[in-house]
Amino acid sequence: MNVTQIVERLREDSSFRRNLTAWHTIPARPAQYGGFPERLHPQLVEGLQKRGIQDLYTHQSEAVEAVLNGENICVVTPTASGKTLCYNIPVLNRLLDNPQARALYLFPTKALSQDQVHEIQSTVEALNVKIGTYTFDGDTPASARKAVRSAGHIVVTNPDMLHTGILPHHTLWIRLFENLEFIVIDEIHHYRGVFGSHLTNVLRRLKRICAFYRSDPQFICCSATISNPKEMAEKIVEKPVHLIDNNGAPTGERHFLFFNPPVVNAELGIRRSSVKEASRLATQFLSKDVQSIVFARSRLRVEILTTYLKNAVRRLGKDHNLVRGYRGGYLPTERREIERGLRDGRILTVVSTNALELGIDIGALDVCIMTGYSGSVASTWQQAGRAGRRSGTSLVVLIASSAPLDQYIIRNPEYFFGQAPESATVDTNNLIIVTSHIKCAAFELPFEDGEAFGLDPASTREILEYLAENRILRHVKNKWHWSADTYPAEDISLRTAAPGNVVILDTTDNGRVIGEVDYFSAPVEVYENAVYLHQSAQYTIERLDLDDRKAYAKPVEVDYYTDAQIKVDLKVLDTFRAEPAGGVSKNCGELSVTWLPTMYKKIKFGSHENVGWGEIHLPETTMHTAAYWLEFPDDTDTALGFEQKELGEALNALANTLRQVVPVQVLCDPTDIRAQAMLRAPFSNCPTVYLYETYPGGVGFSEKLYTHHDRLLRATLDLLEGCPCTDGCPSCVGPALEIGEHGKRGALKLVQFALGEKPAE
Amino acid sequence: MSDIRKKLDALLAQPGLMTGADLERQGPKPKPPLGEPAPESSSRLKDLLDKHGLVSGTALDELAHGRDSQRGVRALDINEVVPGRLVGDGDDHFFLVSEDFPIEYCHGRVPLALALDAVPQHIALSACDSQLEAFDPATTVFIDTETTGLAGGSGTVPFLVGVGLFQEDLFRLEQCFMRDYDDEEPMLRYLDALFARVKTVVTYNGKSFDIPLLRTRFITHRLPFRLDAALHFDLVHTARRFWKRRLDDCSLGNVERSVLGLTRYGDVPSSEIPQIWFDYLHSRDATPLRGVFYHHKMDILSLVALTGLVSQSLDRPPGEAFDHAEDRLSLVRLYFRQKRYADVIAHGERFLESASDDVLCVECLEMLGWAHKRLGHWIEMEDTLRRLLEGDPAHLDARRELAKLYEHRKRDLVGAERVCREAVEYLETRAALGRGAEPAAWIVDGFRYRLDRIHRKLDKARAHQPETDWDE
Repeated sequence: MNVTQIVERLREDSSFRRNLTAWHTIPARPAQYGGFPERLHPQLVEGLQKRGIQDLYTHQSEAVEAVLNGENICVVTPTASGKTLCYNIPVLNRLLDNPQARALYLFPTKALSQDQVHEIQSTVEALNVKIGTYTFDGDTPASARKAVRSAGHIVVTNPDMLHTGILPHHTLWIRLFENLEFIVIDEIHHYRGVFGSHLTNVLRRLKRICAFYRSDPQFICCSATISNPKEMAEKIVEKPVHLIDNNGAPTGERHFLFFNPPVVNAELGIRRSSVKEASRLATQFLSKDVQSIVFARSRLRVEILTTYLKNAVRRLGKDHNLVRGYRGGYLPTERREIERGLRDGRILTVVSTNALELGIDIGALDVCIMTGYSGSVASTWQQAGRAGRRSGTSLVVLIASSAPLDQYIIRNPEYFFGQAPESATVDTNNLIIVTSHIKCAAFELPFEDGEAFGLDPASTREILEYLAENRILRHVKNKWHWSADTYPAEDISLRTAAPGNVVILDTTDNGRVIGEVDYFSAPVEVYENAVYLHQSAQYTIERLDLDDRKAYAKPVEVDYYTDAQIKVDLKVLDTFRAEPAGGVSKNCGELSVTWLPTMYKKIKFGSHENVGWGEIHLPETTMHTAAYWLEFPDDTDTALGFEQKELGEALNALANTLRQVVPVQVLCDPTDIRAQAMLRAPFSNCPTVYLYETYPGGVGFSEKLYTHHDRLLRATLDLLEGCPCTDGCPSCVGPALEIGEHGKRGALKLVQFALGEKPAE
Repeated sequence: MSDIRKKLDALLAQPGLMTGADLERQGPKPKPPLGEPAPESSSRLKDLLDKHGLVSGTALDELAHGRDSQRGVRALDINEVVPGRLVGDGDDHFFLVSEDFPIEYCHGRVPLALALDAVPQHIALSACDSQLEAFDPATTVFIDTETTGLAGGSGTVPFLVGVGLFQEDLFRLEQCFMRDYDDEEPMLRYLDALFARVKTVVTYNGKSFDIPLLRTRFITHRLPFRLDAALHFDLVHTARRFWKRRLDDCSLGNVERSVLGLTRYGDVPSSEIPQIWFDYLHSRDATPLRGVFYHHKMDILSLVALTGLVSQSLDRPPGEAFDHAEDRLSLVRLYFRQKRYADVIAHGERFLESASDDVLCVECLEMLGWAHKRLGHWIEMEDTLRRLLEGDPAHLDARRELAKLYEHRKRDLVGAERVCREAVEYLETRAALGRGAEPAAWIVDGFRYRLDRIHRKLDKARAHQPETDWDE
């Protein structure tokens, strides 16, 4: 049975349709071709044709044409529309003309780099020329590095490696820098917030080195669908960018369905579990040999769904390997194997976290099931993009959980379909990040008087002077020299500091490594007695050794899984600045955030009942970071006529709204900042809303929020007043179901109070 | 005066700010004169940057340190500390300290002249690099650098580069010193002219440190790096080959003490050197640099002395090269590594005559046995292996080699059978007694397999004997 027939079946299935809140059909679109630009090397065109590429889609033609014209470009296309050709064609074309030329490819993860190298190598083979493509990252053995430096025409790496391994050693990379003609930045939408600020500054350093070696590379960027790709690309590469978004790749008809699981207990408003519904639906497709992907929102849910589906496929009398799980924590080889299995059709159903949202090549699938709303419009579309072949029908089903946000989205489909995808924001001139990279840049090459680094020359000079005053740089004649006995790039991490993964070992199999988990997740996932699921095989954790980064596991067969409860604690360590502002006091300072897993629940497979619990004995994990917070006076409740409960709801609603407003105000990513409301904060004994940075140590957002306190509150007020909803929605305070009925009005009063304005009655 | 705080405040506000109208500016503060420590005010920018560790570490802590050294005694100019002259043209100069040493000058117990008489073949042998057979002291430069750190990368600067060359009947040591960063360019130009005349470089660990560092400096100043065309004698590898066995630590200082018999006076530890220079940049008091120049001079003289000593040692007849048994064995090992088996035998036999350490003797016998094998000296090989087994009955390789020798070379199956049987019995006894480490199963199996094969061969030979007779 093909997907078209399945869709027809579903259309006629009234018991299924009863639970749908939307059936959105996106019509098929035929391919639009633009032809091979005439200037392309005939050998390249021939090679592409040999690989089955007879013509270029419009966006590919335009991209190649623009690069041939010397422009910087940003290509925006959905998944599986042949975006890699947009950069590989111009790069290979140039290499055929000039074998001395070099290109640098930047991918946000190592896995994507590996993918790329395979892809280019197969094209190069078809060309029958000697073009060296190498990855250069932490995994590159020392013995191979020399060859990459001298013989790599295309060097594939990530921003972190460029930052610590390549730029500070630029004299070893003369061949690359003297001849660098292209810099490819794929998945540019990924570089939001702090990571994006860092990337921009790493690129400033790269351009500086290129200028020294007298090369002036073009930038080729690729982005998934976000609302501001051109702005984003121009901010990151700091050059005019030609936007290419005329996707010419064909797509078949797509059906986007919103499914709300039926209510099982009307009094309590309890619905059937989204996981069970997803499993039931996915089983149907499985039985009809339709290739599908199921997204789940956590690693644990991925494993539970994989378990259910593996059981289902066994009941169908088929090989359980038709169903596979996929998530962070699987070892790279296992992941590559699953990706291959999906491409060549050996795997029918994959259950994944958002790990497969990023551009990893798994081919196009027929059906995408989303278990729960991903939280953002852009990533929902990206996940949906995994289903959709070039011809034929495809199906996307979003299954809502009972979470208020999910329920809001599912009940208001027009909100989702009418919403532009989120825009990505990046603050390229975050003072702390710029200053960090000016240090690295000075280490690489002395600054000259009048030189500008991102900022104007005068501001650059102020920072240089500041560093010189602190004897990190030395100003002599017209140059600023690095003047310290250290290697600055080593102390600056482009991402959240991750102190090494914890590996999970099977003690019954000679300590074979089963998987890994990042350090901060380990206390929540692999605590003693946890049931650890890997490809639905069950292990119980015997011991967690955080110091050695090892968790010891042994296989078990039980009919439950475990779920940890975590207590989050905030503690103010130091107040840097504080002053009254309007009706409240604004503060910024240092905070310690503590996570303590306290206990776990045993939850039965199938029925999801709670069948027991246990304590977790682990030390707490602490992060020191910067924060900005608002303290309301002790008597706010009486002043505003709130009950305790109302005040709690209002504070939570305010915290939620601030979280919406902050990224736009300080240009960070939503994940860079967290908000937490406390009815009675232990530090101040007052109702308090904390906004703290998720990057250890902070990168200055809190300081900026403090400075822009009034503007921030004003924007919050505008948002609350401007939002057409009555009791709250995901765009402002959060869904009323989550935030309580007084949330929105309460938040409004709090903001007015904080601004020192009299609440309008 | 400029207004760093204000500007940086403005920077702080710039991103994400649409109008800048609500900025809370603090009044401009006078900027301290350059080179003075930053005022310890609690300006919020400084706090912010300090809080984020942007200027943590060395600099601020050292400020106090730097001030201490300024107190009291008068600051001395570099020329008052180490007399030298300015070299360069126009505004660009660096400070050059030049010192001539007669070739009879003894560094420790080694006269510099020894290096002048160095035999190229010996140098090549000691370095395991046949290219160095072109070694000529007259076109050789001895190089050492003092740098602003060991981190590597393009931000590390060699503020003191020493180059030593033999000129007719003297050794001239030139120490090129950067009084500040702008001295680097004229210094590198001077070195470039000097490098043009050079065919060989001698360093201590220069292959991984000094030379790549200098290359980086030349590249960043857009100058050609001529030493890439020169041969390179890196003494650290030679030193490790000769003295590692005896000295745990083959740092130049330790080798100097133990091998050259040199004691340094008023030296400074290498780890303190970068900070001494950084302090000098600010205080302009060259006094503490005296120790750095001394340290650096000693390093280069040691390069010369070591070169001479290495060559001289290899010139001596077998058994007289070195005073210590460990070093003499290292020499045997060097010949062995270079496949010079006749020399292995000559030096090895002399070593055995005088050596008393069993462990060293066993190692020497191993090499001797191999050397005889390679040269086809079967009788000597058997003799050596027997001696080896006397010293170390647990030497299974020796037993195996002996068995092979009997079986394949001497065609003595009975002898081979005995050696194998003894080996198997030895291993079984040892296992039964539970003594020593259990040998891996494949080793025991190897001997059993060999023994079986020899038994088969013996049976076959016995069976075939009458047939052959009969045929005839």
